[in-house]
Amino acid sequence: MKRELKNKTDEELYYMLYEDKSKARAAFDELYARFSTKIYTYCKRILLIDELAEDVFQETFLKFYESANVDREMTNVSAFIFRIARNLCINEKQKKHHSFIDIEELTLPVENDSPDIKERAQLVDTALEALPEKFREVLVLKEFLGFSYQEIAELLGSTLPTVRINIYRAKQKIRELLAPYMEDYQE
Amino acid sequence: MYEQLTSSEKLCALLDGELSAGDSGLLFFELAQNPELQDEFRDHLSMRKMFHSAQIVPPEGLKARILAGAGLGGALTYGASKIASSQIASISSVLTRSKGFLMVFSAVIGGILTSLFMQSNNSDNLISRNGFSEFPIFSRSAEIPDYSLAFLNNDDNKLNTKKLVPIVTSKNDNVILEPKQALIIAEQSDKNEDFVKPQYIVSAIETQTNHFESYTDDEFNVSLSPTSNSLDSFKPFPSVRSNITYENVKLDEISFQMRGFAMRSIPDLNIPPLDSPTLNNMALSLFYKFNQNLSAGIEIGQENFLQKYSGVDENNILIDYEQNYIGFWAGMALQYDFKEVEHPSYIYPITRIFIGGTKVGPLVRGMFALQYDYQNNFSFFTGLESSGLFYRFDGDIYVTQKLGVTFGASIKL
Repeated sequence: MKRELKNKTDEELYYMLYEDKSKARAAFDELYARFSTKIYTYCKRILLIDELAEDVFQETFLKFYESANVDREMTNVSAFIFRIARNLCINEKQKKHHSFIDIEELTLPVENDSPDIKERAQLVDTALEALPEKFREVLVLKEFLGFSYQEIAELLGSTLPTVRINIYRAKQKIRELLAPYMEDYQE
Repeated sequence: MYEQLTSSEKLCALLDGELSAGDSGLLFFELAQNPELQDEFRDHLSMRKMFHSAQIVPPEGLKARILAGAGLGGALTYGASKIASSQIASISSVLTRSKGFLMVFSAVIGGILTSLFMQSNNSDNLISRNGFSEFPIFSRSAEIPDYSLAFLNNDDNKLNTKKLVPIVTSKNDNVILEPKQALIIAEQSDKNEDFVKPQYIVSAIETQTNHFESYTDDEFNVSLSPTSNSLDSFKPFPSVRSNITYENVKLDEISFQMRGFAMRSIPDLNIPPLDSPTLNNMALSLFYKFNQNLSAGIEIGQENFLQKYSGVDENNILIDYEQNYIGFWAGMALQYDFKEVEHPSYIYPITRIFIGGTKVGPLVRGMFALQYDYQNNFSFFTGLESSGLFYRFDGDIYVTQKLGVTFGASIKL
């Protein structure tokens, strides 16, 4: 049955969530396998705190599953589940006060020695966390979750040129922050 | 649309797959002639590698919580309402986030349970509490010494020269002389002015783990006890060096386990234990999970081991020993979870090996069980276990084997 599910589209699996428990479970398992890493990456990158990210991640999938009980026409499961995750992240963020740093003022300490793999991942984390939220979000949606500019614009309720320029500025800043380490990734 | 963009902006759009074919061609032409743009192109590729290697996998157990909340998995959620399930999932979420509280709570519980283990009055080095030497058991096949000749002074005192006969020999003999009676006997003999005390200690057996036997003279009812050698001690704990640093240890991968066992011993002897400590035939352990299959930890426990061994005393008498030894043991364990064959109802086989020891010798254990993940942090397991306690006496190595059932529960910090 697992093989059959792998050939099904996201929308077909979504409609299976409304069927009997064994089919719903199997469909949920497959959808979880397809989206869990991306959703969790998004939650973690946006919220930055493990516990909050886990809570929002859990709530996202619960709401996603509960939505299957409502008779709706589903055309884009990926966008739907990310919209749930985004709204929950926004709600969570509104509970907290954040101070924003001008993207031009961001800097990272420069290391002389070539970092190992763990330190590289930490550098990426630090660089992403240092970005203002709007730049971080579009970059995460593009680079980590694979959405197109148009899809990102629809998700965020923004325009395509705005999304494009925000992604460009975010990448330029990341490039500037990680410039001393770029050679290691070019091996 | 992108005619007004800079070359750098076009490059970013190209790599994101957002540039038209026509614009892409023009950009490639410019790229071939612009070294700065080429550097930027390389940097963008490097950044893409960084981002793709920075995907974050959700922690194990989150899925179980989601399924529980959705009513799609586990015994709790089968037939239960989603509201109740999500509330329980929320409670477990609060508990699991309180890592500090769980750690302190587990440490306190573990300390209390460990102290209860120590209540046993077990004489695991075979020396009685009152300092008397142990009485060995004489088997019927043993030679009976003529002690009367060894220490009688041949005068006209009341000791006769009859051959001494043990009161209690092997397990076939149902006569057991209680320690209190033996003490009385010793006191009586001490009051006899004419009695020449034998070279061996006249004493009572304190530990009831041994049947004690005594030689009696028909007339004076003197009891004698050859001394016995303690079992050689064994230091079961190898030194372990840990290279685990704080940064590498994930506290939420630590679990606390408690289990009991009901096992049959080989040899199977009908000997009652000395006493009944509170936590007997039980074990406590702390495990650290390295990955979804492998975990390792330390385990302590206490249980009965029926022992049978033999040796020769100073008078070349072959002596058979039998005892019900309550042993406190500790050691290291390695567990493998067969998550690959996990049933949708969260049941999967596990296997564990343990190497440790008691005061009398090394102990090895092997377990094969089925584990059920009740929720993210709670598990129950039951299965078969086998153990072997090795000990040495008088140059020979003996083993007490046990086989039976084990059952327990685990809680993750």
